[in-house]
Amino acid sequence: MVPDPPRELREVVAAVRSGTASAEEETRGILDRIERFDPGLNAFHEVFAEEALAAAREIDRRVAAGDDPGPLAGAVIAVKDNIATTLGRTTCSSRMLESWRSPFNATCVERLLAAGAIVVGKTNLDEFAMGSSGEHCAWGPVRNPWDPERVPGGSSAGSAAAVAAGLCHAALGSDTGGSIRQPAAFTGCVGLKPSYGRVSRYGLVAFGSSLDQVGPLTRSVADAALLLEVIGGNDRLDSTSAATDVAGIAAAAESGTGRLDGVRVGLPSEYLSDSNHPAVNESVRAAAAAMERLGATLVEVHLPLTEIGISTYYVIAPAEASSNLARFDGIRYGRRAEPRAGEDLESIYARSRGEGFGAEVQRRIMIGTYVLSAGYYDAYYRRALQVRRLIGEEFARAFTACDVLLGPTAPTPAFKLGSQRDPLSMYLCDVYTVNAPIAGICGVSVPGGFVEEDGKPLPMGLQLQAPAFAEGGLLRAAACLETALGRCPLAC
Amino acid sequence: MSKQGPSSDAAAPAPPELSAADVRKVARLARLSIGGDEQAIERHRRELVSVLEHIGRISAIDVTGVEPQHRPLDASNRLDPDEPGPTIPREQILAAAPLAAAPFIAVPKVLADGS
Repeated sequence: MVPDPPRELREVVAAVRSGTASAEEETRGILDRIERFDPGLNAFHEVFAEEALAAAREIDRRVAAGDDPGPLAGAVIAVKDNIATTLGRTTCSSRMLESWRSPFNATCVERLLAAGAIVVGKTNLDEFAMGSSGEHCAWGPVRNPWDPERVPGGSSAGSAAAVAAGLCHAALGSDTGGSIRQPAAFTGCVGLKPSYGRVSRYGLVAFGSSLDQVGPLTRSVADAALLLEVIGGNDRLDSTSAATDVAGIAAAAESGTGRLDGVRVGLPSEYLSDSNHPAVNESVRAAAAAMERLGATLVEVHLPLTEIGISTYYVIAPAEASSNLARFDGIRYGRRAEPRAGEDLESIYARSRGEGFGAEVQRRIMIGTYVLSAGYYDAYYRRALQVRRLIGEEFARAFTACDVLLGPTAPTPAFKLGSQRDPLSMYLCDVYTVNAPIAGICGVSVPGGFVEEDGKPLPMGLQLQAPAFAEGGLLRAAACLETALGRCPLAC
Repeated sequence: MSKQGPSSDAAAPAPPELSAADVRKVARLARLSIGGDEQAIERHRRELVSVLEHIGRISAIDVTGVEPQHRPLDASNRLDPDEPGPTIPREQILAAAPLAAAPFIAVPKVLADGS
């Protein structure tokens, strides 16, 4: 028997808080579905069945005792495995950290637990969050629940697959160049990349420190807003976390009457490229028409630096990665190569790293090391940082003419496993998602309908972007669009 | 690298001509053992060249007078009150190390005999 699909996050929380549903029963239902569906998806690296049930019983006990169990009471959440948890291991889907256990929880995890959420397991990713397909995972590729021959996108591959298949109520991912939004698009989820500084990075294993953000993958925009309010806000353990108030975002997302009167929606001509899948462009045009019918004004804007964002990103992100990943030297934690007689220390470092890191991580470390090396730093790294400023200025000019930008999340729907053999062609898929982290603005992917490929419906994602710390308006526009276009059902 | 890199104000890196020796040098700088066989080196070389060609396109953008932006929001560092907080217990740090001999993390011998 196929276990029933889970209820939606806010419905579960309301029922658990009022005592009309048991968190234990809800958790058991999720665990049954994981057992049934995850063997074919490989979304989870570890599942905390006993611990999750114990946490759920504690929530039920608190409700029975009349305590406030928190705004996420009974919500069963999956956590990307590059976010530190004291429960289980934190492997970043890398042999380098195969058996590493974090001595602390990430701030976002602490905040989830304090809000009554139940952490059900750790999800697979492209190793160290480097990849756009979920294939670069040391524990095997993650599969798309809409078509197991296709990728779920990446790097938050397991989190997206788990949400789309109903193996959790919501999940945490991380986004450096699109790693929340693109897998959300490929699997029919909502994926929010908050503004840089909105969510503490404490406990997120660093990839590109000036780009990384933790954010939610959910089945609805309102769930994403609720999760952002819980995990967001200032944290003294991350000096780049912003003091900007996070309260009121969920209320803002739900405000209004579903109308977009007075909202200016920018449509960059660069986002409707001929090289996109035709159905993707149709989906964007249909969304624009839907927003106009809700009262929004469509504005044509230009973002001519869109494409150069890829080149800029693939300088900055590998440069920061090569520096951040220098800490994995086989000495203090992680994998250490078996020492050989007479071997020097540098050789131990190099062999530990060569054995521990997979091909894509090695590639990015090589690129990053090259662009930071003497003689090339100015031509690549410094120049990319200059272009970064120009990209931010270009967004700022666009946002004088519009409140949100509309476009596709990815140029195509989910592609087949193994179809992107050339690393560069995979990088080019990130064209619509890299610029938001480069500029630090926020962006969300919402389901934008389906296209049929090989007789199977594949979801497509629509991306809305807004200025830094404008998540309230961003999510309100996203919620209206979601209502107009309809929600994406579970894949199984 | 086999060629001298461009100077600080050079606009356009020439199409990268990367030799196997260059690849080995980058791997050495990265403390990354990529294997000594020629096929592996050649694969790394080809991939690096293709990515470097693409990222080199930033040289076409006029950046005259533009300040580099290291962080997206130009936020400045802030100071916290100097108050002691909880720290990670020593046993947990040692447990995470590949090899420990309490109270130390054990490392391979780094000094040659007699040095």
